[in-house]
Amino acid sequence: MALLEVQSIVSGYGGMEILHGVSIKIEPGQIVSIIGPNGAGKSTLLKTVFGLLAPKAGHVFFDGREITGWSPDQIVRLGMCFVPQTENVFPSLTIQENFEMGAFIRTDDLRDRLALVFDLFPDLKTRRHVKVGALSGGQRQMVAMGRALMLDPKLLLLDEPSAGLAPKMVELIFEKIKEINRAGVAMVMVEQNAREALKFSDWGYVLASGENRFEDSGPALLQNEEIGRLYLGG
Amino acid sequence: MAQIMALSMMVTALAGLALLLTRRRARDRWVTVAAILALFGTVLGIAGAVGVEPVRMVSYLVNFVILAGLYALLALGLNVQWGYTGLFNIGVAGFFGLGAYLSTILVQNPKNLEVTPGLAGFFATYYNLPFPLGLLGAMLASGVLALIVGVATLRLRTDYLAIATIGIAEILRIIVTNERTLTEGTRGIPNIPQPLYECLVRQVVPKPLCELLGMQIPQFIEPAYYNWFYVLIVIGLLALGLLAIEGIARSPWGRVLRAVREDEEATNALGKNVFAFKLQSLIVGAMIMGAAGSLWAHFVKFVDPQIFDPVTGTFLVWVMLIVGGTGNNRGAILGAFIMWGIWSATNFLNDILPPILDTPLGKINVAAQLFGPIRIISIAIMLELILLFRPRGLLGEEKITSTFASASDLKK
Amino acid sequence: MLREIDRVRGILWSVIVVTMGWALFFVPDGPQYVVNGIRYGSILMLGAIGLSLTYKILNFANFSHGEFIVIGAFVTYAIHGPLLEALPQWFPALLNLIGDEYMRYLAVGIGLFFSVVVASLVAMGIDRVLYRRMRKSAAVVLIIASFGMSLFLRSIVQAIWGTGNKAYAVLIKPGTLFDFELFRIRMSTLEIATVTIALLLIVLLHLFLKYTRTGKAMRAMSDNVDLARISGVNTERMIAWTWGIGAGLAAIAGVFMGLNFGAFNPNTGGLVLLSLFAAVILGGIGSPYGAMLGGLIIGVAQNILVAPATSISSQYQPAVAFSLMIAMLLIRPQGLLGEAERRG
Repeated sequence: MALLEVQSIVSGYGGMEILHGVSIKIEPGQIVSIIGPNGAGKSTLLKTVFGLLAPKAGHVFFDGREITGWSPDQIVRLGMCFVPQTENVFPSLTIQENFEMGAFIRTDDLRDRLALVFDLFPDLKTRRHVKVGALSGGQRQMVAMGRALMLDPKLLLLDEPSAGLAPKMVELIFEKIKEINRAGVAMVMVEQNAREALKFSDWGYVLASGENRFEDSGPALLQNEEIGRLYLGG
Repeated sequence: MAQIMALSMMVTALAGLALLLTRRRARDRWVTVAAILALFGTVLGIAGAVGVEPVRMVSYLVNFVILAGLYALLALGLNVQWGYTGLFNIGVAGFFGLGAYLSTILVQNPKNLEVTPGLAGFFATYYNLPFPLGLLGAMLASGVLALIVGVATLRLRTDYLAIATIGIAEILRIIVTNERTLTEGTRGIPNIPQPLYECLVRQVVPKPLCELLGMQIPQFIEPAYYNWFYVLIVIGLLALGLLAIEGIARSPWGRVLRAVREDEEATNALGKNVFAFKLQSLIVGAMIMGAAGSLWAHFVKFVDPQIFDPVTGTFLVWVMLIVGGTGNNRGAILGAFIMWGIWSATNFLNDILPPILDTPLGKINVAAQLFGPIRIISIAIMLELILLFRPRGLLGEEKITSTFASASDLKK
Repeated sequence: MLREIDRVRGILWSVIVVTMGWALFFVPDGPQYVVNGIRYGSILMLGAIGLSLTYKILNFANFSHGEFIVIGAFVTYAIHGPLLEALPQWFPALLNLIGDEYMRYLAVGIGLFFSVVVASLVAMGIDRVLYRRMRKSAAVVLIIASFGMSLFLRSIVQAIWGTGNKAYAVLIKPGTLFDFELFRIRMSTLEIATVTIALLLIVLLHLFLKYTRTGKAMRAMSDNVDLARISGVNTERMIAWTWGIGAGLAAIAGVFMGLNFGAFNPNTGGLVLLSLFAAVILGGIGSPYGAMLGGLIIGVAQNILVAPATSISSQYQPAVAFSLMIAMLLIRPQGLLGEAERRG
């Protein structure tokens, strides 16, 4: 059974409908990339899945349960976490406090989990008591991912994890994503850097104008000439 | 005879105001005028039926219209700031009180304050200028104050203006309370002269003082009925203010103001200097409030630091504007009349309630302790309910069309 | 740009230090005014924290915050009266042990405890009934609502206790003289206790914000409410905590004001509100530590600038606070400890 299944979801902001019935599906442990032009509704899809926007129609199933219309703090408890594209850290909190916030719903001892996440981001470990506001963009992105990993989620939703980062940093972030995935965390990722993302994606969805346009395995999409011309910039 | 003349003039003026207030459809206008006349007739009829002299009833109505009209002027000023531009002024009482004090100081004749002739009973300096100069001075002073406050806070978040205006009102109150050589302190300034009083009001020994086009004006008004003349000034200025603001609202300037309120950054991107527009709006609103203060002082003939009371000077005005409909001038005036009606009608409650209430906890003096707070509590609850359930007020924002829009544009 | 901002901050700090030095060494009786200022400042600090917390977390300036000070003062007043009579009868031994004077302070102390509870509950209740329904409204709607709420609360206090001045039935004793050659200051036990307890509360609050789960979540929310919600923080519960803490500290400030300045009335809160806002803006909006610092600076400034040495009437204390606030808005709108904020 699929870990996450979205069935013809309709959603948008206020009176404006952006998604006109999008469906996606992800198996446990997979990386799924969602690509498409600006305004295709990629971020809207993630926000709707995570309960930040209420869907007007359609269904969301996660881990065998229907979670359509649930609020984020309920969804988090089931093991799905979300890293927004911007403003995804608490700047006046330290790195460690950011991580602790990620596990807010856990009231037990966090030390083991903290150690595990810090092992994943060794650069952050030495600066654990530094305020996140003082960090660079790439480091903030890692803090944001670390925060989302604190609950040991089954599924991570990543909204443009590489946006606005220097090429070297992009490479590093993608390395981290692969590493997290190897530990068994499934991921749905929206990426501008589609070529790079599809290389290591198990499956890819192409969205345009709020509708499913195409889907295939990551490498297959890369091979597809039409997709390359239309959505991957030649 | 003079009373009938004054009464008919006032009714005409009110009807004129009603004409201004209604939309341009001819039928609506006459319905409104008829409604006002009918209201007047009913009130007078009831007064006659219960044995109140009609003249006294009319005098009461005149008083009511003057005070409600002054509040309407305040609400109009606030509408320019808040309704049009989204500026958050909760120091209305400050601009109002400044206008009242300044006009008083400019117009007051030191002789009026002498306890016995030749014996100075006052500390401050007065200038004995004609009323129009006092009114102008009040408007200018409030405008300058708005300029200072605006320069300091309008570049920042909206709440800073709120904090600054409430602070200004409070500090003005402290100044007039403490600086006796400026404002006489807590005892206030009595006997403020009224416009054209000497000219028009019958004296013990009648002696025409004023000339108009070479003709001497007879002193034809009884002292008790001077207000019947004053109400004309108030309605006139209110109508003038309304027309001016309406003109502004339809002009390109007014459009920018509303654009600033809706989306400051977008307006900025269009190349408009948002700061300058906000500043101008704050100043225009404050000047209207200053004018209301001046008219208030010359009507009540007395000012003291109580004029800076945040309840009657600021809170009521806000409730009036919100009740009537933010962004709607007609709503502001309607709200002022309705709320002032409620506010003064509750005065009658004082006559009905028992003066002393015996409770298990002890005697409570209703008139002194309970009445004032309960009145404020009920209006505060009313405000919160409106904010929760009908934030657009009774009339809501009016659709304003530019003077440059053609009829065919409107049909689209 | 950053360097320039740091320079402004540096200049401001030097102005503060120089003013303090001037007050301490060159103003006759200067040290005494500084001590009085620290006392007043520590009380303001307690009041300002709540204002700052709600400002940042709920994103609106709460114009009814001063009323929690009034509620604190009056609820304590209402409770301490009957206790004054009851306590000696209930515990005669205690009366013999600590004497009448401290028995009176004990009554006020018990009253204080209840007033904190009452103020917190009132604040949470108002939020539940009113502000919660306005979470999605524009900030200005909340400000008008809080303005109306302040008059509402004030009127309720007036209806129950009247408009007149009230005072606690305790003996205010003149302070003991402390002569340190350079400084001669007078301080009473009450004043020392006021400053000590205020600082103690601040330290406790600091520890709470720094080390507890709830405290961290509150700080996180003042950074980014949406992200806190995404992380699974129950934001409504944190908002209730914020109101409770802010109103509770304000209530304590109200009791301290009543004890230290002799009398209070229902308008006290409205008068102090301006100083509270000044403190919050001076320190930097949203930074609880800024509010503490701002409270201290305003308290000291009000006492040294409005002193016989400057021949300004003490009535002008709010004007001092206000002028400092306006000056700060012109020079450095984000305050001493605040981060630069986007304008608009």
